[in-house]
Amino acid sequence: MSMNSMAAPGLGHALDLSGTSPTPFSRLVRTELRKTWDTRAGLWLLICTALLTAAVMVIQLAVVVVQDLVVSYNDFLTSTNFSIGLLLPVIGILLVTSEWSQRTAMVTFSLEPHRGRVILAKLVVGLLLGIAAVVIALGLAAICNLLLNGMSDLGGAWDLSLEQTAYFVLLQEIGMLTGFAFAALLLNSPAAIVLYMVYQFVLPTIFGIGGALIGWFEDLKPWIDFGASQTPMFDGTGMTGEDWAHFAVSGFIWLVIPLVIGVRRVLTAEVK
Amino acid sequence: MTAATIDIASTAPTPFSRLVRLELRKSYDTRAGFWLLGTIVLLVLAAEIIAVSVTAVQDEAMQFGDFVGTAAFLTSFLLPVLGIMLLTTEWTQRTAMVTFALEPRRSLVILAKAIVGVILTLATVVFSIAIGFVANLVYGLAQGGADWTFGWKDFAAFLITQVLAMLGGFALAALFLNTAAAIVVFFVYKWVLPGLFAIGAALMAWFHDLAPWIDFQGAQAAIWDWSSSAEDWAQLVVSAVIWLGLPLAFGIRRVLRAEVK
Repeated sequence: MSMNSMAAPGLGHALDLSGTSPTPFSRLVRTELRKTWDTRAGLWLLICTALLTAAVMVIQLAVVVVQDLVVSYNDFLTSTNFSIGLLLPVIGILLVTSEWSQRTAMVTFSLEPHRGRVILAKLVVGLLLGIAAVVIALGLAAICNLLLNGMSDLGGAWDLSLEQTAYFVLLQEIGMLTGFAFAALLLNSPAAIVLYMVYQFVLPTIFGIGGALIGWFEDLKPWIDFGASQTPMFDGTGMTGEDWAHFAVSGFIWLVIPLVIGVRRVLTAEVK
Repeated sequence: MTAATIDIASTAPTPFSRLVRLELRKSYDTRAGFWLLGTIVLLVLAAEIIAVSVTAVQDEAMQFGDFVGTAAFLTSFLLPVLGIMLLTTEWTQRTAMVTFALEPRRSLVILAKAIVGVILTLATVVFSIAIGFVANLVYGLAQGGADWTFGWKDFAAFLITQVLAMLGGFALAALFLNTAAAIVVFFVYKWVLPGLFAIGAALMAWFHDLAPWIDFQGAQAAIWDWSSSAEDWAQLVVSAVIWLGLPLAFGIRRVLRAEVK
């Protein structure tokens, strides 16, 4: 990197890049991580996720104490499936789509033309944020359970197990990845968010109606309903061999296929 | 040197009808807007084809109204997204600067957008009924006779609830001026909150009494039932003030005063 780089071509000067090392992957991950919270939209999304999680737990704690209900550590944790489960995928979606809606893709892919590495870095950031969300949820659930033990004689059992925690991590990461896959597929924030919300809240109803009306669809449903295949992970029944098979097949449809098509699309899309 | 003046005395202000025409065109002449409308049409078509084939094969008794109801279910969650994007795209695509420069009376622009939202809702209702008509015709041919029962009461209720859904999205959009936030909040409010209200009502007696007054989705049942109970309608009005009136009032105030960047 010398004055040579300023020279016009054809004057006998060469741009010597041999001493410039390629951007290390760790720097890409650090950059993508910073990009999630250093804009106002990103920062407030993270804050909203944390606040919503805390609010849901506080309401749950208040109701439980006043109504003398018996709940345990796991019940507090499960309620975060609603708050984190709702907003974590949106974080995953905006990780990808904001590059296109805010037109930063041009800069991002100019500075690192190996798009595959950028996508991988974003994926790693998404998974890291998922882990962070899980840690926050575990911490908040512990605080609530501690408070419950102090305020009420009922419930408050510390029924956390390694298996349950592993399921919880898996659930949150899958939510994040599904959002990420839909985003890569559509490369458009509103479209990806609407698709995710429909998949999350509307599709189960449609599957239910279909299953009730048609006999063969009732048999097919477990194999294509990704959301329902995850239910045994948090309702305490645990995953059987068949549950895992349902999970793998429906996950292939809803997660792997969109992700493969989406990544291919990002790799080849014209950046405008 | 005399002061230069621009005489605009003979320039007529932009007529409101032109604003409405303009906003209507803006809803479909971009790729995003076009495909949103296109997606609604394609989804409704796909759903009706599935509904006809399934019910004909399974010998399920269907009425004209049932097919229209299928279309209504689908449009009820995409229409509000349209309502949201009518408003938020001005801010996300930064066209607000041009829009409000050409028509600085912002309230007229907002009103034009709201009217366009209602017009598009009416258009989808007409479309849903037309598709339902065709679906029922095909079903009748397959089954050897169709049931043309279609309650005009249901039609009116359908119309009103769709307009309410559209305005609900519009209100949230004005409140947040951000597409992603408005869409997320809209889906939470339409699909998640009713479930939470039900849990809360089952657990707490006082909330059980309160819930009907704040559950806008649940209160809309009064429209479908043409309830004769004054309490049902009072609950609808109260919950509508909370979920429609307040966001709309705060949102419009925000749009009227926001710095356009």
